[in-house]
Amino acid sequence: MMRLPVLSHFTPKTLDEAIALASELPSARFVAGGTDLLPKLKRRQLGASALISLTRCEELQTIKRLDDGGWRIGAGVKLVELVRLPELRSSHPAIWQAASQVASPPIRSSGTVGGNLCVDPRCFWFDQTAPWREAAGQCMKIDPAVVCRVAPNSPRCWAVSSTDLAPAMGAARAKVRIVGPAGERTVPLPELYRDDGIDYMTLSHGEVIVDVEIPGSVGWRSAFWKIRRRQSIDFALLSASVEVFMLTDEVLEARVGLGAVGSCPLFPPEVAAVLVGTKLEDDVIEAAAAAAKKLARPMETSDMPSSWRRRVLPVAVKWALREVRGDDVTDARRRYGPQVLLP
Amino acid sequence: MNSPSDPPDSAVQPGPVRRGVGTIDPRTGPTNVGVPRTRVDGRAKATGATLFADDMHLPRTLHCKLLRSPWPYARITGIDTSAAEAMPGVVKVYTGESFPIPYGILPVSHDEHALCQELVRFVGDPVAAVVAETEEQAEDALAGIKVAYEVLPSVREPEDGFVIEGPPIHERRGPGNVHKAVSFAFGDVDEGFAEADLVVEGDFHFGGNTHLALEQQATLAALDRDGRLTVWSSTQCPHYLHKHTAKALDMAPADLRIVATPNGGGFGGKSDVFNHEIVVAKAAQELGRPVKICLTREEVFLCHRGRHPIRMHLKTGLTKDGQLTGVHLKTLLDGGAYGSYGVASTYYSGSLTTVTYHVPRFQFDACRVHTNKPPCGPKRGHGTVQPRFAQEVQLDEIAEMLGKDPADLRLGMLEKAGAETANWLRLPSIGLGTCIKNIVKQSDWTNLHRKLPHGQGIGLACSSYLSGAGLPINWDRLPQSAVQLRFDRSGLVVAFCGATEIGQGSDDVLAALVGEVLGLPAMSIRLVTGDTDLTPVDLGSYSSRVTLMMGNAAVQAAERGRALIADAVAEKLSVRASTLVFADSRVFPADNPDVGMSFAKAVQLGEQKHGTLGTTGSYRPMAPSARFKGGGVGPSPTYSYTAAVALVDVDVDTGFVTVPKVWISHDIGRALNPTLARGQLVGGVYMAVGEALMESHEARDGRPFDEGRYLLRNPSMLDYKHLTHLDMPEVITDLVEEPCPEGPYGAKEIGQGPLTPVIPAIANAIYDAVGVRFHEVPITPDKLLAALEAKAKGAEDVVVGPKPFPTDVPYPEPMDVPPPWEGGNGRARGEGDYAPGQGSKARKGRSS
Ligand SMILES: Cc1cc2nc3c(=O)[nH]c(=O)nc-3n(C[C@H](O)[C@H](O)[C@H](O)COP(=O)(O)OP(=O)(O)OC[C@H]3O[C@@H](n4cnc5c(N)ncnc54)[C@H](O)[C@@H]3O)c2cc1C
Repeated sequence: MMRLPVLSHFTPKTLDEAIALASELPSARFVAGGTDLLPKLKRRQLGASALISLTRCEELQTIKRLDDGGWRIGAGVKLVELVRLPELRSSHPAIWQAASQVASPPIRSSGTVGGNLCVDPRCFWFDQTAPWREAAGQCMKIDPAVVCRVAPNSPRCWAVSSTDLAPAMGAARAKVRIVGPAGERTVPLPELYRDDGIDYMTLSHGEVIVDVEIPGSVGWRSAFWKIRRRQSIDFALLSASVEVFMLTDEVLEARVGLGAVGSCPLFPPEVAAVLVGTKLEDDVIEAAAAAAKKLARPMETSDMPSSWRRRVLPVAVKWALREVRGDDVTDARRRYGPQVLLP
Repeated sequence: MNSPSDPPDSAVQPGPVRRGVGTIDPRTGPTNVGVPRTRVDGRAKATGATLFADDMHLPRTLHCKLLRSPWPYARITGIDTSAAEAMPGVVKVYTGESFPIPYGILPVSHDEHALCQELVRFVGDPVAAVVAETEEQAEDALAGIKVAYEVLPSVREPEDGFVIEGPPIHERRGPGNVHKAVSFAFGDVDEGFAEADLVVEGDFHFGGNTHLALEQQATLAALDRDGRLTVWSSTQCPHYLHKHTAKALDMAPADLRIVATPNGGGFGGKSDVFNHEIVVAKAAQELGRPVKICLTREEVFLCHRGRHPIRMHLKTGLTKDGQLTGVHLKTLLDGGAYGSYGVASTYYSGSLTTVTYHVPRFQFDACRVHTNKPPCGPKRGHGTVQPRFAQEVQLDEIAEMLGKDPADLRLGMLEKAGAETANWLRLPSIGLGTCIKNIVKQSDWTNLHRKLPHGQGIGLACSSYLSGAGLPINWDRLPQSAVQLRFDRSGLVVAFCGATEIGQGSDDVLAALVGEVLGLPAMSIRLVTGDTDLTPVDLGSYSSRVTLMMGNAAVQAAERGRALIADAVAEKLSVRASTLVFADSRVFPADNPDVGMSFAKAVQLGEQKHGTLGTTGSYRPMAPSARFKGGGVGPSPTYSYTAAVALVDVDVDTGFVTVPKVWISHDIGRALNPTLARGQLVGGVYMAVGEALMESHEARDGRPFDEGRYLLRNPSMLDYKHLTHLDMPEVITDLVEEPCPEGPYGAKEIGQGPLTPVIPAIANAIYDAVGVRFHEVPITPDKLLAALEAKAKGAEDVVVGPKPFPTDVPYPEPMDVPPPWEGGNGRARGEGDYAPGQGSKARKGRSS
């Protein structure tokens, strides 16, 4: 069995204590459920001298319904807790659908919202054991002296953003509250990310995601579609989250989030723009799907060829839009991931 | 089979039984046989009480880790272990020097060393071993070993191996990297094609895949107080491990004890002798302390010995009313870096082609080539799954061409029970017709086939598998399975047998059969298995041999015990022994139960009369009819048959295939424990759907800069895609019980066969759903989507398959073996008095 390297482990009781510890330990990492971080440490993909657990910090455990019908969700909340919230399922279906399609039941019982937003971008060349990477000749993400193996002429790493919650929460206009050595700040969720497979977050050392605020959804309809190889456990090959604001049958406002097609989640305004002012007619849906296909550049990072992922991205967009239009998508849901089955 | 009122044949026979034994006593009905029961080892497995190899720990245990090659093919030009030796906790560092003696599971391919000698042959080939106080220290010290390599050009595909420039992967084979090439003509197949109204040809490819047993291999070795070595290991074949470890370490087998710990799944992946087993055995012997190793999941993927990728060319001739006139099959196996069971796999890639449908003339050419990849070997359905895929997909095409229903076509060409095939295989019983009729009815086939809406489809296919290889790996005339029973005064019966529980239920079969003869519940029998010090030899859990072979031996041993006990009880009660029945843990006259006694009391009477009660039973199959060279692979005491129907749902936007439902019917002869039998069917379907749709053990190069790199693409449970619970179809199981005269109580195998037909059934169902033919597996969404797009653009007859079968495979001239109906005698024309297993001629240079 692969073992963890020898590490110090801290369990601070408060957020302040956690941040102070991080300031003292420059090569420490925060850990929450550990479901992303610990396998990577075991495979020696990342280094760390110490782990600072966030699981005892009360500040991260909130689940609060807000006056406008929105939610404040602590970063330490476990995914399974979201899945068990029927009110979230009816107010924000896309977020609920995303949470319930992360990994598998055991992983959702330990994995947290904060950890999910911070999932390390993945790539076939990187997410392997140390002996494998040695035999393969390493890659940029492990050794800056080596080129990116999926795009050798590129100066950057193309590891793929693999968080399911980020496209859903981003499309739902979530804001993220961050506390760090320099104090507190709140940013719109998309601003958490950088389009780079290595340096993928805008958090600086010692900054902790405390919670996510999701505005109310009166008049909004949403859906999240994840395409993956198997109906459990697998990371997204790509995902699409759509949010449309419609009081009658006309779309007044729209947002689209795309996951697993770049090193950060994408929220392309040009795709959303196609939808505004329409009644989500078939040709509008086709046009939006085509717009999404045009800007997504999946690379050879995952277990399916990028050409296939590029072809299938519009399918995910299409089904998400059909679902918000009110079509019966039961059959298609059954083919793509039955655990989100049916109310 | 005999009537229970007479002394059973197997009780009086002096030697091993050769045919099926055991009859249910009609006066009492069955005790265990045919009764759906909780398996005898079920409680311990469900509660976690079972001790697997990695659960074992002895005081002062040292830990071992292996350093594996990062190069696919290279010459070791130097190894410096000094830094590693100086690292904390390190006790010993081994290199190839300490392991000069080669071994290999088959006598014809002793091509492995515990640690590499001069060459490394795949990424993962073990080069050195560290033994240290802790596992972490051993792991850390691997980094201290410096190995210099001269990288050689690697061979990646079998067709690159016919003519090579660099050194061959193994000396004394060839040409090039060819490991084994064979060719047989059972009749003149061209004559068959000339007679045919329809001749169909196709190229097929079955991708490689691996076993994925949940338990990772582990081994613990230690000296006992007398200085003799014991090795506990997760192995399917303790007998072969015994033989080969003794050879590789140059020690007397009697000084070595192998204990097979319960296997957490095997599927063929624990049937070889593995490097790590030999290394820890030697370390324990030399260092005088227990030494243990547990492989990582990645290492298990590298040890492999899984399903060979096979390219196939299949040509079939038929009359217009659907009778086969001839079949010509060519196969090309990608063997990977070592021999393993590969010679057998080579023969199996064709030899069972004839056992389902009547094939009057059959030509079969097979070739296995070494490549610089993890070695392939036996996986569930060993070597037969791939050609069966080709054959059953092609039959679906033929049915369409002839305008026949695929089920009817097959029913019309079935081979008959009692037949001897073109390649001299005896088929004592065939329940395939019943299997086909049952699933056709259960699945409502006739109303669904070609009648479902676009995107949904239903497909059918059949298969057959051995119930034990007719010949042992090491040709001798010894029993292939044996059981020893000890009858205690307490009424306890202990059964000793070398058989190995790998999850398939071999313990349950042993206990149930001994109990059946003696009227005792299976749960009451105590078992000692898989221990070369304590148990008589059973060759191991491979080739679906255990139920039939061990079962017959167990019944013989139990009947001998029953005869001794009945004799004493009859004397005591002044009745004839034949009037006694053994039931409900009692022994009593059938017509007067009240005068009977407990089984314990009966054992005491037996012991009083005969002395300590112990009996043995053993089994050896009848000699096969095939007596030509190479005819040793394929014969079996009997064959199981399976038919499957799969329903698929194709998502035309993505190419995803889901399988909502599978119907499977299996000719098992007799289900000794229907609960376990149905479990094997469901497990077979699980594995088959994975192989059909996603499982792929494949290598990748180092693109964009190659530099000679070439390694397994996906050695983890996340990346080696296999079904999750949610991907699993609903399975409707059906057991066809037409007792076979060769098996115990009529039983045949069920562990391997049922996987096979499900894969072509899925391919055929996909054709029914969307009109795309798949001549290769796995059928992945990208391939299917591309085919659908081609079809949408107007392409007709879209076939997804491999590039054309190479024309330059160096097959030998075919050996001419006349089939039984052409006056043959089981030998090749012009071949002398050759008979497997007899005389020195047979042993020399023969392959099993
Ligand atoms: C087999 C497998 C399948 C998976 N499948 C999916 C999937 O389908 N979809 C998916 O999205 N994920 C998947 N994951 C990844 C992961 O399990 C989940 O994303 C999970 O939610 C991560 O949460 P965690 O609490 O376990 O994170 P951890 O592993 O504890 O942390 C992950 C990262 O986040 C940082 N972090 C955690 N909390 C905070 C915080 N509050 N503030 C700042 N930084 C923080 C950590 O320092 C670390 O870098 C999978 C993982 C595995 C092993």
